[in-house]
Amino acid sequence: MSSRVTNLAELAGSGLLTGAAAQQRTMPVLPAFAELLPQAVVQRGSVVECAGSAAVSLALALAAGPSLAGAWVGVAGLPEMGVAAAVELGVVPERLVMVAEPAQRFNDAQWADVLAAMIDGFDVVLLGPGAHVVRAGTARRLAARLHARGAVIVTVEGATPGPFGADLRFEATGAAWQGLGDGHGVAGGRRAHVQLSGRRVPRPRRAELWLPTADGLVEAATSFSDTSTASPFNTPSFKDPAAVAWQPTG
Amino acid sequence: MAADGIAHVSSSRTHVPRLGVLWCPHWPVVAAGPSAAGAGEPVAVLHANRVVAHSSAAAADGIAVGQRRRDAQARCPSVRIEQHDPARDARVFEQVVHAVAAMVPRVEVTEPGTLTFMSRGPSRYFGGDAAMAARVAQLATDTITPQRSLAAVGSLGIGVADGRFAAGIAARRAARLSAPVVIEPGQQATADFLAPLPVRLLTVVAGVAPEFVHLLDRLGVHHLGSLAALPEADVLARFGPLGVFAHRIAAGGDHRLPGTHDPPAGLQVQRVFDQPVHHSDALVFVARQLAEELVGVLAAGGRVCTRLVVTAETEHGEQSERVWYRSTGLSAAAMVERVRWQLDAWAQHDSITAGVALLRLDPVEVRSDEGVQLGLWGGRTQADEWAVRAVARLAAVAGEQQVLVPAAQGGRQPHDAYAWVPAVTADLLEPAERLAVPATPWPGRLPSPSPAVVHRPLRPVSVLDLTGTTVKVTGRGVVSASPAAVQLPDGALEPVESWAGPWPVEERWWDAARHRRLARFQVLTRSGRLLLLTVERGQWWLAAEYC
Repeated sequence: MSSRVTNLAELAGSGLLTGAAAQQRTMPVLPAFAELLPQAVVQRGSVVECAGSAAVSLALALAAGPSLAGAWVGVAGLPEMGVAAAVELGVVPERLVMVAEPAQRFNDAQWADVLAAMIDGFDVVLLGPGAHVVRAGTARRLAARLHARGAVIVTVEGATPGPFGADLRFEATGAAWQGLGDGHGVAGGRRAHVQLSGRRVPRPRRAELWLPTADGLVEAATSFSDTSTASPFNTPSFKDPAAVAWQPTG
Repeated sequence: MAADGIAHVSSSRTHVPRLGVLWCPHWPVVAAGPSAAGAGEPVAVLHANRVVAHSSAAAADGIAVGQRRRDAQARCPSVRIEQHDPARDARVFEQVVHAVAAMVPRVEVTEPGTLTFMSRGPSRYFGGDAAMAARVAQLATDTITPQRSLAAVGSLGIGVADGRFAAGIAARRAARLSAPVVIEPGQQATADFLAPLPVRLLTVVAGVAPEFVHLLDRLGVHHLGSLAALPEADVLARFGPLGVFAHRIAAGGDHRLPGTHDPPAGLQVQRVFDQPVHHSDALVFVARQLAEELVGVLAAGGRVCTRLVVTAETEHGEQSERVWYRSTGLSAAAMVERVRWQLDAWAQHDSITAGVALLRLDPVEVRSDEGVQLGLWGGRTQADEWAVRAVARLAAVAGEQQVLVPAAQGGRQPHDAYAWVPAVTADLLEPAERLAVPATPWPGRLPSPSPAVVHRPLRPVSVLDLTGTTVKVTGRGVVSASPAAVQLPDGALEPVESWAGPWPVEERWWDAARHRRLARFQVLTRSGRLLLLTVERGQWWLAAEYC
């Protein structure tokens, strides 16, 4: 018994019990996802799919954690991504790179080259529906490269299912925007049910998130405290753009 | 005591070169070209929403460098706004460089608008500094005037003096006086010239950090003479190597940073092409590899290149050679940028008869890298190195115009806040200038959260009321009826759950051609989609979606 205690103490000393070793194989995500992902980390080498009505915000919020920790975020197949929203959610614009498809579109070989270069260079690769034209075989080879390199692919679900087999799947359902009335108010935040499923998730986990809050952040919504911090009704008159809108200057 | 000894040795060993500096005030304005309105038209050149250069007429109306666009337009509504384009500045300036290089050897381009050359030889040939300066000024002005006009910014100036700093100041004075300024040779004469001048010039001319100059001002050291009068050892103890540099140039001494020396031979990197290259893009790509190789070799020895000779040769022996200088050291990205300027100007100005067969980068002046250009927190990580390499690779695979990075620009509409610019034209590791967000928010901008999907170009939609007719908004912001349904671009008809607006925007009301008046709405559909719609002249558009 005593030897076992000693062993535990040694393990703790070596950092194995505290998860220090595991952290090198993971990437931190924002604390808002702690309820869904234990220790708020995502495994390097995994493919994360975002679906539902808040899919783009969800993908940007997932990319924000690694970005704040120093990772570069590469975006492809999502030419209409709003940079302002990404910055509000926490993506660092200094480390954001977008690959835009030319008018005549990439063929499969070009997509393979582009995505391979992105996986090699960026820790987070954010793929929109435009990148889902990649063939399944190409996607498998890229997934192997992703494992070896230790980056993370975050995909946004489109009309057709993507070729990348997702390890984790976030789905935002029942999103409810706050703050809009019949001709008055202003959108001040969205409360969404987010469900996490996937290969390594035996039972789907659920959480309530502000995605985003009235300030554009992502926060866990708890039924008791949200009125004080994350409520969109904080200072409606101050947030009303009509109060400051009519200023004819360039 | 030890410091005295060192100072003595260094001042006796290094002689201060006699330099001529040609300086054109507000060069970006000249490069932007004249307009029909003539030289009296106020012009401002903007970068990242800040004025970087302006014409004399604009200055008379109160426009100054560093102002925000709105402030500039408020002071002078008729100002013509031009976007800053360093490549254009370099291209146009190349004509001047070309002309001057035919007269004096080894012209060094400090930046577009400023060039430096050794004055001793040409002065002897043309019969004195003043005669030589007058000829160079005439030649440069004649080169510029056929296509562009100097009238908008005054005139260019030529200064001849010992050392880069004094010559730079002399050139600025010459531009003001419209006549060359020659400072007598000798350290004492130079020091006497500099003594009554304000320390602010250290930032303007020599690129010393403004914080340091403010500190000098607060300490009561207002003039270069008072700085030069301080003991060098005390300056070193209080301000470090940067202080010694400022002290030395204020006293008319050598302009080179301490630790600067000529590099050992064999540091140059070059590439000989078996197949001559015809595309400047391909050459720039090779230049990037060469620059990275060179910077890597220098960095291994803890050094950085401050003066670089770029040489390109065609198969037929045509040659382009330029010297580039940057006091804080040239990074690999800065080298590539300069190679691009040089090649573009060369291809445009001379008719090259064959492909390029040789490209060479030769560092002719290096100094020990004391991290002058990188702040304490500006350290690069492995991730940054990988990312920069990936961007270069992506530009080769997907095309340079397809790899983009965001640049802040500010504006009222969601798509205005950031623009996407090609990554090859941006300095990825020093993005501060590119992403400098205006200090105050735009009035009338919608509050956060911002939409996650921004449609560009806008997509037409129709907004219907309960009777099925299109909702109208009057000029006074009155809505004809509550929106009941939105017909999306894909044809789907979505019932409206709730909505807010209109938030009117009126932009550039003083300019009939670019005047815009539109109103914005947020519309939440019953399926839970929140849309940002705009209506302009009766037409509804889908501007963005909060998905």
